[in-house]
Amino acid sequence: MPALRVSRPVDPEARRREAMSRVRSTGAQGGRIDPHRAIATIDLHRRDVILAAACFAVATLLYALALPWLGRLWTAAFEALSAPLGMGGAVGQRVTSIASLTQVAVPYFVAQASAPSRTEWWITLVVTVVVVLCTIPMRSRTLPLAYALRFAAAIQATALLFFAVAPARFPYDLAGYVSGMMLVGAMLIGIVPLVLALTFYLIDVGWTRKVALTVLVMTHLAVLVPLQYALQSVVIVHASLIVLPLCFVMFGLLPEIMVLVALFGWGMSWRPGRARGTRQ
Amino acid sequence: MSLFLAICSWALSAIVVVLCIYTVRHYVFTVNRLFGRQRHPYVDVELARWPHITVCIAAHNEEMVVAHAIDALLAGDYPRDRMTIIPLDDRSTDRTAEILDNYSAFYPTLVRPIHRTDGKPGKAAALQDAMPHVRGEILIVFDADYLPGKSLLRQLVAPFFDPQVGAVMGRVVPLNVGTNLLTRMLDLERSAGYQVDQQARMNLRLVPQYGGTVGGVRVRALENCGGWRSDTLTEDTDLTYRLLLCGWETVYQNRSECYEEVPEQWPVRIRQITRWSDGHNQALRDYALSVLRDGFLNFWQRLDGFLLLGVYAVASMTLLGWVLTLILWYGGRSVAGFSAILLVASYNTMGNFASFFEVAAAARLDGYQGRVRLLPFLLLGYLVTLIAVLRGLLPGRRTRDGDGGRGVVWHKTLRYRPEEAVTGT
Repeated sequence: MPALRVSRPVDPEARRREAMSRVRSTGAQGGRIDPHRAIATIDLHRRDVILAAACFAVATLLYALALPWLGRLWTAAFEALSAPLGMGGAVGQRVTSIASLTQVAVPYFVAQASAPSRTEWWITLVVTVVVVLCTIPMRSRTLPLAYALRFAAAIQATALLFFAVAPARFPYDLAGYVSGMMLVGAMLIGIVPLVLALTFYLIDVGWTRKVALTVLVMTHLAVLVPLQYALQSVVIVHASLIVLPLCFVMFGLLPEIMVLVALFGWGMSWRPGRARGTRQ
Repeated sequence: MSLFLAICSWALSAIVVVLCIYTVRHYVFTVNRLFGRQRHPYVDVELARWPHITVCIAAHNEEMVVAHAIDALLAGDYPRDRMTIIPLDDRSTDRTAEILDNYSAFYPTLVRPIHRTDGKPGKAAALQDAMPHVRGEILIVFDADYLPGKSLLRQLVAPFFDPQVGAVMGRVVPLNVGTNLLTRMLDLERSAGYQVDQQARMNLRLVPQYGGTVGGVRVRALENCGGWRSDTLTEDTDLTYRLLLCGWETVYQNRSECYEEVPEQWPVRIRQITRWSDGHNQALRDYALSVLRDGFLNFWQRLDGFLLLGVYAVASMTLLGWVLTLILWYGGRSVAGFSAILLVASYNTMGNFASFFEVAAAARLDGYQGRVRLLPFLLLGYLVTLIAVLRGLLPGRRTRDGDGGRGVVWHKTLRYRPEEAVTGT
């Protein structure tokens, strides 16, 4: 149980109130009595808000400065993965300036992903139907999984429809899709400090842990994003552009957000660093 | 084609604006609950001349649980000579009637069951039938699977000493949390809904919701706003708004906790959400304009009242938003389409994050922060909610009764109380 940290106010009335508060929350044997959960609050001091703002500013600035380096790292990862993944070896770069302050060069494989052939279209249709059929006996415990699979099948059905009706009008190619999504991934990493500043930084855990979680989330995403889109590139090249919509909706931002939420949830599960308040 | 895409783009932008408003609402509520000044004006009322109250327990085939609810009420500290318990047996076909009659034989002046054999089914209709038998000015309502604590009745009655209070709502806490993933997720959702949403509304003097159980209503206020309506699927939401529009205050008591069983099976949960969504959307149609136009409510109360009415409509809008996103994405609109998609993506990051923050904050305040690790699974629960809400919008789900009112299809929620715990008297 962490000790109750009490500052020493100069105002005698404030000191009296604080002493009373300490007595109210101290048990017969000297232990701390936490307030009932119905009335518990978390004390937020001005220094916490200032530190949150400072931490957000520093993390964002450092990330902005590191963006060119991150682009080079991702490009190196694509170059290293290109041969093992059978992507032909060539890696292109899309350079984007961010608010004229910094720029990032995101990589993509210089590989051609074609529209689906008739055979590929039919195979995709069969797989989609099989997936839907497989979800029919899934009841009760696995129902959310069944819904997720049906949702994926519905997305895939839209792709099947599009390529059956107007295959030539499909507006995306592999390079544009991968570089675009990696750019979105880079932006997502960039707003992590803001998201955490508005939420996690306000919570009663120590600042070391707050900084650690920020680094952990950003690093995790920085590693995940290139691997995620390298893998998607391979899948799209081999299965044709017909799987690109599914990759976009189900395996684009969604897993990145899941990672962010999962690590945020882990951080929020850490024990409080100080005693609870009761603001009434 | 480009006009169609432009319309889609504008519609999507409008949806994202609405979703962002709900995001801000989630965030404001959470910050207020975590760090703001908390309002518990009646929590310290311990000594009083307690008024005579009537406690109604709605029961339809509740042989597994109804005895537990009555036992818990009898074990409470509310003076027995100032209390009447009316279990409402709504055409049960199991041993419910027998169990209630046994209690009535033991406590003839205290427990006075009503057995319904005809008339409209459902809780609201049963409560309508109970009104002539109600003694006293305060009516407390529980569902049969609830287990009130010792002091709960006093806590729920205390706010009624304030003459402006028309209804009181306590906090619902799941009893079967550890059964499976669903019950754990429902525990997180309930925690956020009560610990944060309801308490923040109470703090900010907005519109706390009367939830139809673990709550009470002043009989005069009920009569003043037209009594129970049996043609709604969610009589609680309906009553909340009628009380609000009649000028009565609804109070939320976060300290007044009562245990309930939450669904342990997804199909049961889906039916529950579908019913809530249906009833909520019905209330939206019935009261949205009245709430927005009400001259006695301040701006924030009107806004909160309206947003509360729209919580299930938002789920439908989210689905529509995804359909529009796909259309724009296939349309390949280079500027507006990409902006709209980015807007949706931003909402998915920041918007949902406000909900996650709310859930995590609630669990943390509850002292069960370990449960927050299940946070990512809430996305699955959200998907199921979307599907359930969509089902509620499908035509043909409603039936219409002969007298032209809106008919109701009632689904009883399954009970999971262990066999060995089932008792009679």
